[in-house]
Amino acid sequence: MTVTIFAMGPLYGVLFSQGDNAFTLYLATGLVFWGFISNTLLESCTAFIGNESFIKQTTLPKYIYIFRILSRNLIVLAHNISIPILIALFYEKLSFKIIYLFPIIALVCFFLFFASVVVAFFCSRYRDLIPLVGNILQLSMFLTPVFWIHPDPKRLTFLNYNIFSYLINLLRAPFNCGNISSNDINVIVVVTVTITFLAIVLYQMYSKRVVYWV
Amino acid sequence: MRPSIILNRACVEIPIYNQESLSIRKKILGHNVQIKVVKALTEISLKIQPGDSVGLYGHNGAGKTTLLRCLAGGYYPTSGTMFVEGRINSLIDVGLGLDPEATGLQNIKLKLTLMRVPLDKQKSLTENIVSFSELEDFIHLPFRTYSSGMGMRLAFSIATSVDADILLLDEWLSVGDESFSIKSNQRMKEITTNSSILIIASHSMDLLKKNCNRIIHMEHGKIVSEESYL
Repeated sequence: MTVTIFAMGPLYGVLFSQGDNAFTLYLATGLVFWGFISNTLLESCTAFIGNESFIKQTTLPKYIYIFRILSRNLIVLAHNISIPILIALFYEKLSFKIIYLFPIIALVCFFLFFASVVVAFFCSRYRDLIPLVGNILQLSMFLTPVFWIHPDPKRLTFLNYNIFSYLINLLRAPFNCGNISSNDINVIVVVTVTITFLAIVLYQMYSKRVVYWV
Repeated sequence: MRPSIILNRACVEIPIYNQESLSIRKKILGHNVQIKVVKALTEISLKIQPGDSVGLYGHNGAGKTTLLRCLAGGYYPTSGTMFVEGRINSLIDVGLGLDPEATGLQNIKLKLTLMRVPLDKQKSLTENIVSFSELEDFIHLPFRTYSSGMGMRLAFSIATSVDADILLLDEWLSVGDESFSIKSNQRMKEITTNSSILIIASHSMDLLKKNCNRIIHMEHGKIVSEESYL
């Protein structure tokens, strides 16, 4: 991760004529948080399929398999987050705003947990969704301001329908890369509530059927 | 609360998915995909009370293991009802949840947690398991370095270390070399007599007659007959 950031930082800085040190931090936060979000969702595809033997023989509730993936990725994030923090420290961009990172990560985890439940249910019933989720995530990486800085929110308005850009923007804000905007939070909360509702419905209907799918 | 198991006309129908029926593309395109359904258990009615030791007897594919998995909480009956009261210890697959990269000790902790043993009880149990398994210093090495016999010894020692109200067994477990298998047989006898309900699935009538007071014959997912012994 560190190598990637320091190889890509100067390169993309020149490519997008950003040039300054702030861009390295922007890229570092983008890559670290994107990795967290996309790996969690990607691993959730096989959350039930990969734990077939547990599901067939134990009474463990199904959400445990999602928690397992989420907690593993949180540990990875806890390691990786040291990179942007060190970069921010080095360029003296670190401020008290960093403490907002905790509630923001909590909110993102909330979103990721329920989104993962939905992904896990669909992917265990329909296996051809697994590569599709991978493709969507890959496409989303290019449509999300991970590497690039959004030139003008009024142009390219279709990018505003991408939930991932709201998540990444919000996660970046505590590093003084942009502001914590209430609009971002509102959008994320609305989407999270919708997904939570969907996840609960799926869970109620199908948590006892999963054993026949895996 | 007295442990008991009550099954009332419980059926388990397992859909057999293939490439076509696992595809959402076929579904969206409106292909008429037939999903074959296998009746693994048909209208099982059963009442098991404390003190019962039940033998499930039948050929391969008679539904013995499916019934055990059902009682263990894996398969939910697709129709009919199932009521299970009491702590279950399932020895269907004793190796379940062992992590090859973790050491013996870490695996003990992992398995005990999986079996919902409270943390304060884990310490004394761990000592028992380590001494019973006779792994000595190997207990600090990763599980993947164990020979298959050692692995089985550890898995067996952990799985049989806890008391349970209901014990589920798929065939009598016998592991290790001569001296260990005598020890493990003894342990098996202990836990089978200690649990208030015992359910064993087996092909061997002799084994069942030795350990059970009720023997249930199963064929093609149905209960054919039942014999009682005293």
